[in-house]
Amino acid sequence: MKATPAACLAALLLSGCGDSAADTVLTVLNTTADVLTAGDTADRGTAPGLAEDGFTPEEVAAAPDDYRLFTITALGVAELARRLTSADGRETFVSQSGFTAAYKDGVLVATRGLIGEDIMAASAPGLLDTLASGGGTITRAIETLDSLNQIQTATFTCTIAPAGTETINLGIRSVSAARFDENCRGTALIFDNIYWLDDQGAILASRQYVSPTVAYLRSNRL
Amino acid sequence: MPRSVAPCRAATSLLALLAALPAMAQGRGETYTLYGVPGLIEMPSAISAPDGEISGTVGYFSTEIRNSFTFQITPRMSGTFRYAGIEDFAPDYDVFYDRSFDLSYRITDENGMMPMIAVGMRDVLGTGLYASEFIVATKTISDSIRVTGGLGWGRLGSYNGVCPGFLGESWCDRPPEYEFGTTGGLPSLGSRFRGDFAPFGGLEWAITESFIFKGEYSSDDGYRDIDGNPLFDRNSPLNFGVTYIPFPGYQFALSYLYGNELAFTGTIAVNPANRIFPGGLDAPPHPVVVRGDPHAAASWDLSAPPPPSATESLRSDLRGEGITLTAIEVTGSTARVRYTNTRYRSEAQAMGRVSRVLTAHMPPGVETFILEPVQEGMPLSAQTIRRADLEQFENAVGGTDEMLARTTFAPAGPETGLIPVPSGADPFTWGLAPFFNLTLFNGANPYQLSLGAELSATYRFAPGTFIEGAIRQRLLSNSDDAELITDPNWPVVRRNQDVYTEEGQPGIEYLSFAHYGRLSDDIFGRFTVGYLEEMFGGVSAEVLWKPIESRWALGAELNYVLQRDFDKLLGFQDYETATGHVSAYYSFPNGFHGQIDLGRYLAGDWGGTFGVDREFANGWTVGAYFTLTNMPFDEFGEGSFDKGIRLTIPTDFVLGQPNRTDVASRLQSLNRDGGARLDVNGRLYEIVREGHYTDMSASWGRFWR
Repeated sequence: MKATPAACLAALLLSGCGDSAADTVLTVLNTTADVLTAGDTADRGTAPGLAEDGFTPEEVAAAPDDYRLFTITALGVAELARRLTSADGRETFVSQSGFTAAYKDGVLVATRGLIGEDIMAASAPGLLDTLASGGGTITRAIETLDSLNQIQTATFTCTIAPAGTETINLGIRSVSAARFDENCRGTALIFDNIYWLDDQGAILASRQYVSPTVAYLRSNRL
Repeated sequence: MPRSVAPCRAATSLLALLAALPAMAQGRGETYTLYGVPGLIEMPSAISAPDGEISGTVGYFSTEIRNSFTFQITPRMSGTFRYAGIEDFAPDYDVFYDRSFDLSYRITDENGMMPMIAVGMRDVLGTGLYASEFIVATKTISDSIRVTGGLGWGRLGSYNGVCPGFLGESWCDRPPEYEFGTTGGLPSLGSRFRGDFAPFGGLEWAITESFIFKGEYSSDDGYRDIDGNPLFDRNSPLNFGVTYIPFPGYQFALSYLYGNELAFTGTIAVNPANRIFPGGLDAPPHPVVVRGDPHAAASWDLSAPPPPSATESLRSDLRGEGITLTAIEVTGSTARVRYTNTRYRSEAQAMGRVSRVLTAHMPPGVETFILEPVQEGMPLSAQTIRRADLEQFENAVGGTDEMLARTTFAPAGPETGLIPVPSGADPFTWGLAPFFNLTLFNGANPYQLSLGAELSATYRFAPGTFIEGAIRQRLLSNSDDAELITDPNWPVVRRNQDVYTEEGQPGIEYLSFAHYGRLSDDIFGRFTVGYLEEMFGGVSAEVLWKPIESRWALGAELNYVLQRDFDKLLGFQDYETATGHVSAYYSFPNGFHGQIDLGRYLAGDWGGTFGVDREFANGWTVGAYFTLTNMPFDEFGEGSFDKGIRLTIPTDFVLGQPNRTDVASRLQSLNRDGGARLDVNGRLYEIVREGHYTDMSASWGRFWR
């Protein structure tokens, strides 16, 4: 027997066996790898409008409200993010490393470009009212994209409760903020979000769940 | 110009591809036998692999090696293709190579006290060396113990088998499955579940999550040579083994067989439904810019065409997304764009990105976007999207389904009114790449490897009109000298593949002019002339009827070709022929795809090819096909007729980064002349279907990706 098991295994995964014995040819691997190309490079760019510019100290200092400080402990991310769009309480920020996160009135509703599983869409109806009223229970839904390009929706029952007042460091200032903890339970998952609110009840900072591989995204206003 | 085997990027080492795949598989307690199916050690069980799982298994002991490829075709049905080598089986062979195909079907699931029950057949199409049938039941006793018992026929009824007389001769006499020396390869259904039958069984005990002990009683006494003499001393019917699972998707087993033989089993399993990063590692898209957002681009007066600066800005942003803008029309409140997606496997994803970029560039008065994806210069379809829907449903739970429901699909509109947008790309592209070709089980040399370089180039006169070519030079090979094959009955059109490979150094793989066009709303055309493939040159014309929302498509292809010289340069041999097919395609709602091609093949034989593939929305496909023609089985040669299985692995599935390339392979007898079809580049169906409703809706989950 001359064919090694490893070679055979490779053959089985990436191609062929025939149906006749001694003179059957089984083309197993027949591929090429581009090492040098010239001409069209249209498929090597990055998404438009998401370039790294817009993060100079002068730009940040000129409009600090347009920036957030993003932290993802699981991915070792701690960087600034710049507002890309805003309308009707919906804002999308792009981070210095290039991922985006979208918020609706401070509630995380989508991410894109994370090294891990993104949130395709999310809803937390009644969350802001519940925070304003000092606590309560809401139902959340989070959509993710599975390996077969189908949207999967998970629902969670979340309990929100006040957790006192804390002084939080927003990067360029420290402020006193009311903390609220949100405990969410689904069929296969439990997570805990944290919100810090200013005197007007707006979300100054938050730590919100993204996915099992990313865990939490913390966002601070500056 | 899609090719059956598309280039991989340098980072896409195939070895890395192989190594990365199994990490995504998720076992659910099944372990694999020496035959490469879920079960005990040699004996089958009733358990199935997870739906869609693909596994490759090498089973080895002193006289035999089995290389098995198993696909869980549906949740209950699996198929196995096996290539085995048996030493000392026949006098004229050091190693006798044998192919076999198995089917198994799980009839019931475990329910209370009831076990799961399965029925199966081994070696359905081959020489019958492993021919056997079984009915088997498997019951989970505890979290760590599972027992299996069954009845086997054929080889599985060969140890202490019986057949009660009351069953009669028709059930107790088992006709031979195969007569040695004939062409074989035919179904042997007349022998199935006939003759003696015998019990078998065993247990699996999961000592830990990683170590599974197995013991079995084997009813197989079929390890015999062609004359019926034992291949080894079978001292016991009992087999014992341990399977080690270091990571999900990898299994290694050591077994002690029949009181005499030490055996090794290695399995790698992958499931297309389990990806390391399920949604991929795509760069983020530009978010929707809601009208009124100060971040919107500068507007213009809609009573005039878009100014060049606005078009250029749009073109540039789309190019950053891997999308080439080819034409634009803005009339009243509607913007129509044509574009070519060069990056994303899913046209739905490309459409989602184009539409979002448009929200950043179109004046607020534009309410409707009409998106027309183009491939090879052909506008494939037109999707109409309301801008307000984009603004409403981005990041909204349920927004993906809503967008599909609210998007209308129609044939692409007319050329009239469109303002062409120069792509800015160089019409001449070229690439220099290494190629790697591994051929197994080719006669006396079962392991042929060749490495070399391929220089390819394309010049585009227009998006759908181009010349392309490729030259290959082999640099390293262990191939033997090729022998020229002649045949008095039929033209030798494929069996001299080795001669082409040997003499064509360097050789022109293909060098052809191609033109594509949309002939009407639902009819597309292709014309190709030149050196169409490695062995044939000539002219090829194809038309395809494919309505936008139809699961059906019909096509016709007519070619007149000349056989190329073996040196793969510019000359031709004396043989020339007309070949062509009419084809019917159908996408079943359950993810299966069928294709029938009827016509005349390269050797002048008439017949049809029938194929079924299971297609996963992320680009994986696994399928099988066979071709029957008027070439008699004995003149076709070993195997009797052409048949095989085929597999496509999308490279983005493994790498995470979006791209449109595949690693595609066929498990097939390549060097037979019956049922041989021209291998022309860029057939229409796979190009056109990507831009139509069925394919787009299958991967619509990526619209907002």
